[in-house]
Amino acid sequence: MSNCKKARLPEEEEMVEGSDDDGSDEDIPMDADAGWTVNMDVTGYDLKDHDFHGIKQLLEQLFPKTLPLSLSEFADALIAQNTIGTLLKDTDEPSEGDDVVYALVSCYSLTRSKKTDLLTSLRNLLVSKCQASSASKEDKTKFTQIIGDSWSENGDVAKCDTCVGLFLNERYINLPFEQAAPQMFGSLMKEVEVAKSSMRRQVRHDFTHYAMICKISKQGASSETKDTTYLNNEEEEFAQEAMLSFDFDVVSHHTTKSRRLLLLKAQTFQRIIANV
Amino acid sequence: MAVRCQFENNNEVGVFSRLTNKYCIVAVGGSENFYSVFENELVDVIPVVHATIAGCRIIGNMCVGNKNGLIVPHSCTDQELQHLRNCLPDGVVVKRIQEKLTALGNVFSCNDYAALAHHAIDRESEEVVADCLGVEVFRQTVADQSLVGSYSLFTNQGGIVHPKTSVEALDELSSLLQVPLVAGTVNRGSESIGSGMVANDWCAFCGTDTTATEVSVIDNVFKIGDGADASAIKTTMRESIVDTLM
Repeated sequence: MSNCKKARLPEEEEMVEGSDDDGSDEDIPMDADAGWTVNMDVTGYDLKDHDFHGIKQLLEQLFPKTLPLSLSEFADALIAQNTIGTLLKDTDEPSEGDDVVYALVSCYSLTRSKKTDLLTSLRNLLVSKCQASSASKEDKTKFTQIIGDSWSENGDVAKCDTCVGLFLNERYINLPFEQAAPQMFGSLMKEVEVAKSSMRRQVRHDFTHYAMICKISKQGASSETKDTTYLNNEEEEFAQEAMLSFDFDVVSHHTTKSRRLLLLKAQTFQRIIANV
Repeated sequence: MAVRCQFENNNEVGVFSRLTNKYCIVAVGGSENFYSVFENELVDVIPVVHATIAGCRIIGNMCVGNKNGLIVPHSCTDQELQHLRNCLPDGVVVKRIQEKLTALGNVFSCNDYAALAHHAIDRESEEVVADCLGVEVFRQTVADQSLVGSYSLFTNQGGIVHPKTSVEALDELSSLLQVPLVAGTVNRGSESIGSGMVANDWCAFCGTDTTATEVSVIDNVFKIGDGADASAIKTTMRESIVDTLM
């Protein structure tokens, strides 16, 4: 298969499901503890045009529709950067149908020469959420400056002092990821390395900083004792070594969800991701 | 040219609006952007009305109508019914029917002369629809799907049906409805044409994800815009759309 660029992930994802799955009721014990395992074979694929709907669905998890960001444009832009990014899909890929995309790992550079609506709305979103957050004044200025320096009005990206990449790590909730993670992250870093040399004038991939938005949930009565859980477990390690971070809320399907943006220096990011 | 729009970031325009040759109904939304797009195209031609049905915003799925009338389900409240009667033009009869399949927009698809219906609707509902809307009702499936309203959309000029409809079924439907039909998609490959867009004899609205190819198919089959050559879809357009004939 020409678009399967990596070897099959030799994993059998095990998912323990409760007994309320489909299947004849007579055979399955209705005991809630007696789950069974489902074996899934998944393969990493490049982002292609027919994955548009799957990618958009995963992006919606991170960026609910209430935000002023066009997810269609974003999905198109991720597909367009054809050397970067990996999707996790079923191994038996049906032809051109609407495949289910289980996970997405990609990196989108904010340092581009062409001023698109997408780029402007992404930057404005990050900066406005930062300004509105409860981060320290120092952090806010630092962040705004880094984002501000990572592009130039006249489109001359070579002169930019900083180069920021937005790291995307999305998957179906509760999908076991420990086996797939190292391969997906590893290949992403390799792809970014290769991309550094090409297209230097239009888009830069020699990132000085990586930004990532984590889905978090805060529990606890008062704001001091709030216990933060990261929906993507591996992101907690990144959070511990982030140079700065701030929280913001988004409204998704009439409920308020929390997000945390982390900004990491490139070397720190590369070190942590290699150890995942 | 078909107009692209979104209802609160949702591309399913046909779910939140109902467009006919005599009136247009749109759902009540947080911002008025959706309503403004319709107003822009239709101002002074036909009234554009805000409404809810059964307290829901998915009015496109809940009701069905044409220039002669509008049919709403039994879950529509008295106030909503009265509001519709007040706002719609005088010639339009608004009727409420007792049908167990209440999502009438999914279950019926019609133009000013003919209608397709779900095979399981009541005899009574079929008669009321035929009477109120002045149409001939045909119980049909579209590509083996019973929800004809979701998977097809046709006006007096032409229609689009589910992309997996066979050529024979397409010919049969076309001769029943007496309009040219095309099997196509909207909103970048979505099969629910009836939910994804609305159209009348001179304009159409679809989701922002609709590709340029899909828009040109819509313009051609519904004969919208200047220079919309009816037969272009079979001649000049064919080469750019059809890859191989099997």
